[in-house]
Amino acid sequence: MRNAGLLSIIILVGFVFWCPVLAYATITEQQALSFGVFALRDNAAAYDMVVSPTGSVSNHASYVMISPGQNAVFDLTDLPPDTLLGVSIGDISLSPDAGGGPSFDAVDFTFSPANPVTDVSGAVTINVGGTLRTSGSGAMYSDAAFSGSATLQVIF
Amino acid sequence: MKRFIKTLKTTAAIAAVATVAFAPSMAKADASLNTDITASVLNAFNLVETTPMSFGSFAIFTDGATSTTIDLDLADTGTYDSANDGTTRTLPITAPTTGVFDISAAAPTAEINIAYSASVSLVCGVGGGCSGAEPDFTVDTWTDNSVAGVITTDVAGAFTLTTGATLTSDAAAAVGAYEDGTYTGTLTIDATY
Repeated sequence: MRNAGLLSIIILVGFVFWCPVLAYATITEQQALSFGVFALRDNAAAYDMVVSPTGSVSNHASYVMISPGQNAVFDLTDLPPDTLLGVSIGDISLSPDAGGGPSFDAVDFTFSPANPVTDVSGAVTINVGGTLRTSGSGAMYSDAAFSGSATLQVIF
Repeated sequence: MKRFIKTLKTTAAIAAVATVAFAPSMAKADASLNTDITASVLNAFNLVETTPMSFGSFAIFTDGATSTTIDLDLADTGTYDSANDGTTRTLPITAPTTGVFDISAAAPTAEINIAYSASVSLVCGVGGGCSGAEPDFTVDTWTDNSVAGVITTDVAGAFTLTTGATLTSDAAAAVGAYEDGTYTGTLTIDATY
């Protein structure tokens, strides 16, 4: 009976300690995604600016670039080795930090590598790009900084 | 022995239930991080007058029936119309100067559209040293160093705009109607991406 009780404790304690180890992961942001500084000729339609995961920028002619944006870079560590990861970021809105006017949408996030796999130490670095889209409402954007909070989701 | 087996069975059952309950998190775990994404809109830039446009000083003779002009080109050389040399005409006294306007803090190598007021009336009035009964001049037909109304900034986001125009006297101005004084008007320049 004593052995049975001890065995029970070993099984349960082992289980409790085993599970969190597998679920643990660390995500460190090395560089945030930015669409840079720009002027807009108009907002007559939904105009896109694309920042690729490598940082290259392409934009509709309505954007007049003043300083280019940059891709995001995240270090993923403390993951199981040699594991395929699923990464995603949902669409968000970028609102003006001050003043009113229309918001932007940040959509269609892309990743490099597209299907990241951790190395033998359980780490991988991913680069993230995205698309900035004007509202197309016709209302002009005010001079302001726009921001929004996105969630990077990693599944393994 | 029976109790031992029973306890072991219970433990196994708990472990099995726990395994089933937590199995999804073991097979597919996830982690997440909130990250700020930013963009900045900056449509404004500087447009500053460094040299006002001036048609200089001149004498003018009018006949009440015809007008006369001064065409101010970009080389700061006014072309004085002397077609009506017997009656309405101008005689230069001091040289005119083109208007010079500096654009800065704009986007680098960006096209900017330039537009002017349709026309500007130059008025003397009491403030300019006249009686107020004198006729005005009209300034229009703007010329500048843009390409069809579009300039391109340099890599620093700057451009120097030079502007000329044509001054035309009032055809109906009677002899001696223009009084000595300073005739001024305000030109509006729109510069937009």
